[in-house]
Amino acid sequence: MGNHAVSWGVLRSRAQVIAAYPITPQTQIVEELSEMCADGDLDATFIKVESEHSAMACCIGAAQAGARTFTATSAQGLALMHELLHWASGARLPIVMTDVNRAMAPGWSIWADQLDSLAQRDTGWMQMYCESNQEVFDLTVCSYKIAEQLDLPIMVVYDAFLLSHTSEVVDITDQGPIDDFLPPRQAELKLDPGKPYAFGSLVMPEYYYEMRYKLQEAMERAGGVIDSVLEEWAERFGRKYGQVEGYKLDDADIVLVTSGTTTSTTKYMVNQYRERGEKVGILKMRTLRPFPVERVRKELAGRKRVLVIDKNMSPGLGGVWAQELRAATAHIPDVPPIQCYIAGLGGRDIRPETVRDVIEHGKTQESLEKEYHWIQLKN
Amino acid sequence: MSEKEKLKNMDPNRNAHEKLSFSGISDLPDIVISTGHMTWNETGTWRYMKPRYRNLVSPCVVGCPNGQDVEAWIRLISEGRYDEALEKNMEESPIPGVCGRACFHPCEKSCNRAQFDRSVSINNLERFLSDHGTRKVPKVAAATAKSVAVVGSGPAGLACAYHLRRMGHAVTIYEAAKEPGGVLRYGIPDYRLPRDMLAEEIDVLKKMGVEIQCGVRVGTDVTWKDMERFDRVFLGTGVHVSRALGISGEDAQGVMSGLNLLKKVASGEDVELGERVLVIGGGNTAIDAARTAMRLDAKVTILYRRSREEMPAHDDEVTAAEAEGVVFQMLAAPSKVVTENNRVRALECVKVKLGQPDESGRRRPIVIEGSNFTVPCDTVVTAVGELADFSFLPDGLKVENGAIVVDDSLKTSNERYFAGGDVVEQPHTIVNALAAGKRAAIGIDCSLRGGSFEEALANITLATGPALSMRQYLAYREHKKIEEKVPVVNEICEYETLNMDYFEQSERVRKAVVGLTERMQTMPASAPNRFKEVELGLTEEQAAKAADRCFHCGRCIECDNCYIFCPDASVMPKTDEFGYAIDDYHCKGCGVCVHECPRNAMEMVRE
Ligand SMILES: Cc1cc2nc3c(=O)[nH]c(=O)nc-3n(C[C@H](O)[C@H](O)[C@H](O)COP(=O)(O)OP(=O)(O)OC[C@H]3O[C@@H](n4cnc5c(N)ncnc54)[C@H](O)[C@@H]3O)c2cc1C
Repeated sequence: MGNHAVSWGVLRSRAQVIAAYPITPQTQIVEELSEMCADGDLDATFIKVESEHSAMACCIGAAQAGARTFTATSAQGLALMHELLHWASGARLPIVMTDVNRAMAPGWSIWADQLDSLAQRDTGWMQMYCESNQEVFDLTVCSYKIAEQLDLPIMVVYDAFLLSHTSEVVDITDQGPIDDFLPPRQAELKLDPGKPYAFGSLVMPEYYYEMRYKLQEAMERAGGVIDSVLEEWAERFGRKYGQVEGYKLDDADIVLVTSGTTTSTTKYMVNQYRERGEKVGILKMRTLRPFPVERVRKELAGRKRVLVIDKNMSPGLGGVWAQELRAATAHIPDVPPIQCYIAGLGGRDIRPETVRDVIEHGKTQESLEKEYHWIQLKN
Repeated sequence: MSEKEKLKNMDPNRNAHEKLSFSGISDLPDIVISTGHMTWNETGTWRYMKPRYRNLVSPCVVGCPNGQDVEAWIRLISEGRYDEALEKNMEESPIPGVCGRACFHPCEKSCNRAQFDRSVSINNLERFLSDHGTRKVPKVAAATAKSVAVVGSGPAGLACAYHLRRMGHAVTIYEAAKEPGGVLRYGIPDYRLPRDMLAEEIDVLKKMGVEIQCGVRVGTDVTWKDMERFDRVFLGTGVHVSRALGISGEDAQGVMSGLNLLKKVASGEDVELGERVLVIGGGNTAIDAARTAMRLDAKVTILYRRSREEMPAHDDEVTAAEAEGVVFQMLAAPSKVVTENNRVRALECVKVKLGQPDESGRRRPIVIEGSNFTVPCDTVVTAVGELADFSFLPDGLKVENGAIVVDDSLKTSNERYFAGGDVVEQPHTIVNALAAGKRAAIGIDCSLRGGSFEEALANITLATGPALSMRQYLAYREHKKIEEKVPVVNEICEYETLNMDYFEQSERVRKAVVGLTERMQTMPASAPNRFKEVELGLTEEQAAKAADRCFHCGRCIECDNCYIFCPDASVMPKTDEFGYAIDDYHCKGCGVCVHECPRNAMEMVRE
């Protein structure tokens, strides 16, 4: 299951402090980790806490003291962490967190949709979305390397149940090679009773501005770091990933933009269209932050249609991925209007027919008539 | 060197008050960090309330009429320190082995754990410490040149003699019976309270120098005038006259009192009961007599005029009797003993129903007219209550409602005489007798020394009382202050004040009993060990488990929670003594330690 893939990824990464509060559909991740700790397979301190807020607080404290840390959550749990997400990035702590995408309540839902993580867009965390359980394992390990090179926290995100509770064959890379890939964390400045510095204290307007500059500057470097870490991973283990990935994209007239497991269903439909000779392809988004601006500009230019399937809804404007793509490509000549399709909220299945409807509808849309479209809405 | 480099290599002793100035982003560190050490920032100055350790009184301690420091000896048991546990117990009582077997353990009713799942098995643990600890003869203070006579060697007399002797007074016990112990020796049967165990406990008193004269009835064998050579006299003579049934035929052969039956068996005399025995009554005497008769090969029925709920006998005893095959005939009262040649043939009874509660709070039995029935039997055993016989008392001692009148210090109307136990108005139980013996010892000591009993009480009453602490009295009378490991506030630790997040429900530990088959096999008179003890003690493992269930209400046990939770590393275990030290310079007074203390052994105080 996707959840087990995370636990193994964290085990292989030799996390030292794990703090978490149970929430479906994440719970299995930390359950398994607590067993790994109890059995002595993982030499980590497992801290049971009374809320997600505390879980993040523990990770912050431990990371500040130089430890490699991990936590996992979903939906309301992630929302409860919000305040501390800002703290983690502002304090430049390379915390790795899994967010299993789950719809926000109410209505109470435990099923997949992306609003929980997308709503944390501005917290200074990097975010990577996964399509398969192998990606979940691989990106968990890579995340530590990425985060620690940048001193920035990172979220590994994937869909509730579609991955979290679905079994797939996952290649769990051996410990030795992973140790070579991911050396222990070396924190330059850390909590140390011998050197009693204070962290995160008051910064006057005199320097706050510059501190934020430095945070953004790290984000600007992040794209390069992600690329190089993923490349190194591919070289060592043969599994290649990118910040964006294309599927039958090169000659595609109609580009579907997807993220997470929606991509797989879309691939199936794309194959059917290709058989009929229609030039349909996919741009799969992996990173929300840093947002791969140059990449998407390049990939979307010269297409006939760009159809974004957004498994989320930002009330008042529409799908978040579409907004981000529009912002990134605004005034770029040759990029067609970016059509936004809201689909799959609260765990509603995105079926091949859903994708087909998106494509067929998209074909008819020359210009941007609507900010977003509902698809297969029950009228 | 850039300012950033300087920061990295900075001398940790640099005071962060000194300002660094950065030229710009290349110079700034990536993270917000102070520009020097922060030890000048003594966060203790932020505090307006301060945590402190203080112990409270665990409810079991006051739940015990005798003020046993139950929590303290349970803790010693869980640490495997059985000798010290026994010693601790014997600070308040000479007979832990007796109490661990026969005490009705009101402590368990007050146990906070009873509100959570089920109370701690305190009674079993008391027996455990008496079985597994080595008995030490308590210290006797320097002789005081005062002497006290104790009349009666039941639990009241034993306790009084024991404590007075510890204070250095010369004590002589006068006991009418052949052997000391009172009801413990001649009432409660061997299968509940083995005699050698009792003898062992009484032996401690002898070793302390208490003189015990048995076979001497005061008022008869020695006169009250003889008693004048003592400075004080304690009367612990108990109640020994069986209440009559008040029905015809009661004097026939084959009618005997339960007390008499028990006494005969306990004295090793032969008793002929015949085949069918009817025991009348619902108290402890009735149950003990019935179970004893079972062991003498009889078929036994208990006749009681109310229902099981109203039976004054302890529930465990009733259950054991039922298991052993005693038949209960509830809601029936005797009306006539049917005799033939002045020998019992049968008992005529009437059926009874229950009406409104009477002054005892139990529902009053009302005879159902015309419901007479007859039960054939060979022996009728009467056990409908005991009365005191006061004919032997010295003249002028005030008696009311069948009890000697006493004041708070258990002094009688004659200031040289004190009285306690069943002979005064109090619950007729061992533990209450023990408590009375202790209270009288304190009363006597105060009066001998011309001290104020009231003042003593104010110093030694445990929380709301009335239980008294002999440990505290012994220090008080020598004007000493007990140096407690943790300061004590003399209040009960209530259940609501515990932090239940730290306790898990667990099964109450039960002691084993000799199986019924084995018990019954030993019963025919021919069987060698027919009065073998029924209840077995706890194994070490069971005792550890039972002790582990104790919440240690209001008492610090160094569980480390405060230490673990303090976010400022301001709670530190003391290295050379018990407990923790709070770093006043850095404790912000957040109160997490107090909140997370599982047992309310800490509090916040205003500074
Ligand atoms: C059969 C029975 C079973 C019981 N079971 C329990 C039980 O399981 N648990 C419990 O808590 N309580 C029990 N009780 C009650 C408990 O035993 C008594 O409350 C307790 O023994 C009273 O102690 P005491 O010291 O006041 O008197 P007693 O134990 O009655 O001792 C008084 C002593 O004084 C002696 N004496 C009397 N007059 C004189 C005199 N003039 N000169 C010298 N000596 C004299 C008597 O011989 C006797 O030995 C039971 C009582 C009975 C009768």
